[in-house]
Amino acid sequence: MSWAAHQFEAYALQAHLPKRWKGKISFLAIVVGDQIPDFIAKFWVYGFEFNGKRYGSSVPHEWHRGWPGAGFTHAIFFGLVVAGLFWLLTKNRAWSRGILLGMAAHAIVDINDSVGAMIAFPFTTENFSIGTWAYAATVDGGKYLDGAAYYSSYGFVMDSIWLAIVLLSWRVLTADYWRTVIVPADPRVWAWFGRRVPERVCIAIYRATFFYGLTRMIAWTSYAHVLNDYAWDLSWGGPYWMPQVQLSDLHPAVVLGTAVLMGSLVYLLVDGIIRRTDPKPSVDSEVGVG
Amino acid sequence: MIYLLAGITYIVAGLAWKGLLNWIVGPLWIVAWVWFVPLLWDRVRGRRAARDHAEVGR
Repeated sequence: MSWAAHQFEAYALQAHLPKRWKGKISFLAIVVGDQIPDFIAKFWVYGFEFNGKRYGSSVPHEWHRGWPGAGFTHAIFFGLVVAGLFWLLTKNRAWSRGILLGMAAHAIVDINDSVGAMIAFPFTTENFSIGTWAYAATVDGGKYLDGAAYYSSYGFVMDSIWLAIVLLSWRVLTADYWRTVIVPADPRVWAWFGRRVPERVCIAIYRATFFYGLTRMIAWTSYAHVLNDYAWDLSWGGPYWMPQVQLSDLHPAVVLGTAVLMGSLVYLLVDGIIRRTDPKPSVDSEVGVG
Repeated sequence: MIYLLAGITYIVAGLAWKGLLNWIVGPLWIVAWVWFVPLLWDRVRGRRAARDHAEVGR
């Protein structure tokens, strides 16, 4: 699984939306969509203790990404279902598109660990993985071993790359960007916040996911290599000290090809919907909040 | 500056008690800092200014 990458990718996506999409995708919806797969699937992965008894999955990777299990949450199709339901209930296009983009980004990025994601569900229950690092959620190790393994492997590099993408697009984090791009795409939600809190707090809400990603990345890397002495292993599939778990053995070319195909389908779908339903140029005017 | 302080305190607190390192507390931490710390700071400065003013008046 990916850690801070799931926080950074929302800003990276936002910063690199095609020009005609700007102002037509809710950023908060991208963040929410990015959290939905693990929000549904992950609570049972680590489990919890109550009255001295552990409740949770006995085989975390099968529950998290497999079928039967919650692996369907990491599928593009599931993103379509959730976004479609959201649209039926609210008729909010910007949010529906954002949820689809966030969920698709999450699923596609998760092909990097050794278990991978069922991105082509329900057409196949095969897991698509390129095995860049070892999936490390285990019953005994829980969140601690998972974090230590991730931040000792190429997972750390993956988070760093996403962080670099966001920092290279640093304007996406500015108050001006929030006022001119983020708010117009989602005026009702931001106006709701704006009636209750000062503008500086609205901007902090907007930046909060980035803040969380950056601080958790530093904290877990420090936990693994300052407070503890887990060995770094920047080799494919590492760290070597983590047993490799897999759910399938597809050729990397097939995995990457399918991921590109799925990503392209999502792009074409969102672009087609925007062209059909919102043909006007994107909104550049400020929407007052606060 | 406030983001830096919020970040340092969150990392230190999170390392001391890793239960804080989750997707609910993390975003709330920065929002709470940006929301409440300036208010507290203004209140402390206001009290100090009022006290100084009273002392000068004596």
